Amino acid sequence: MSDREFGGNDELSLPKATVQKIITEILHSDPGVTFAKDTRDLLIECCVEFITLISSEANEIAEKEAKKTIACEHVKAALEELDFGNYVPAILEVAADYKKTQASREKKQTKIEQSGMTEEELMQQQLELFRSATDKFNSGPQ
Amino acid sequence: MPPTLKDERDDDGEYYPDATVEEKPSRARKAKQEGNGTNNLVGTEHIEVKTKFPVARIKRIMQADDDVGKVAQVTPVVVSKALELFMISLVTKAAVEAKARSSKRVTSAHLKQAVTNDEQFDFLTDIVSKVADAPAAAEKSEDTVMEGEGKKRKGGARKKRKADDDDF
Repeated sequence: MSDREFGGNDELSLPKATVQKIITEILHSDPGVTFAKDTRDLLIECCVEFITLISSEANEIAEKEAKKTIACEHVKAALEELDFGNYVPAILEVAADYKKTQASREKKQTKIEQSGMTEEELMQQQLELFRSATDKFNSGPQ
Repeated sequence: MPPTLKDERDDDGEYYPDATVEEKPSRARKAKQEGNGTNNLVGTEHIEVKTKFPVARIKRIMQADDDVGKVAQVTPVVVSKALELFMISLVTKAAVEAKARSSKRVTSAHLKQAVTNDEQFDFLTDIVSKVADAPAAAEKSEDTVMEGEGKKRKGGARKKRKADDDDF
């Protein structure tokens, strides 16, 4: 039981190795600078607090709009409200990326559209493919 | 060239459903739009974090608050990005504090100083209050207060007074 409790606690924090990796990436341009372990743990606490702050603010905003689900727009409004408005462009970009990948996951067809070629060009390419396949077949082992 | 064409499509098709989705396409796009997207985070826009937080974990932390109900699929993803920017900001500022005291090692006291200097981080005051101030921080706090003047009167002033009382 107590084991599970510990596990439960851990679940509500961020993985230390991941955080350490990110810290290293951030300090990459400052060679020689190291981050003490207890500093990292303190940083993790700060991170969890940040998530809690943003989600509770976003939740309030969603509730005010009588929405049951917290959406991207609520996070955006929360960030603006909490003096983190400068993060907004980046999160919108991420949201757009996410949408795009979701869309292409659902509809394989869009990948053809994403190739940036017109239908004619695609047709041309297909014909080319057929032709080369035929050639290969004809010139292949007798 | 038939083989090339085929390869490209395979790439696209194969990578998307993967867990690595978030990284691959967005990294390329990020490089393209870097100037736009993170422009207002002055001095940190060159920092590129490739490691991502586990989205499921972020969601769980969000929902640990009983008031928080359902969240959209995209929500933990954008919160994760916000968290990344938050970390970049906090770590960079803590590193500046360390540098100001010619320390190669970023300590909790430096992190605390970074929090105290910036109004944006007021919500972390409780968390860092348990950390002792760095010995050198007392001397240097005057400089940092000057830098952040107007922005961070309250905390800085309080801190300075305390330091004076204690030391002199």
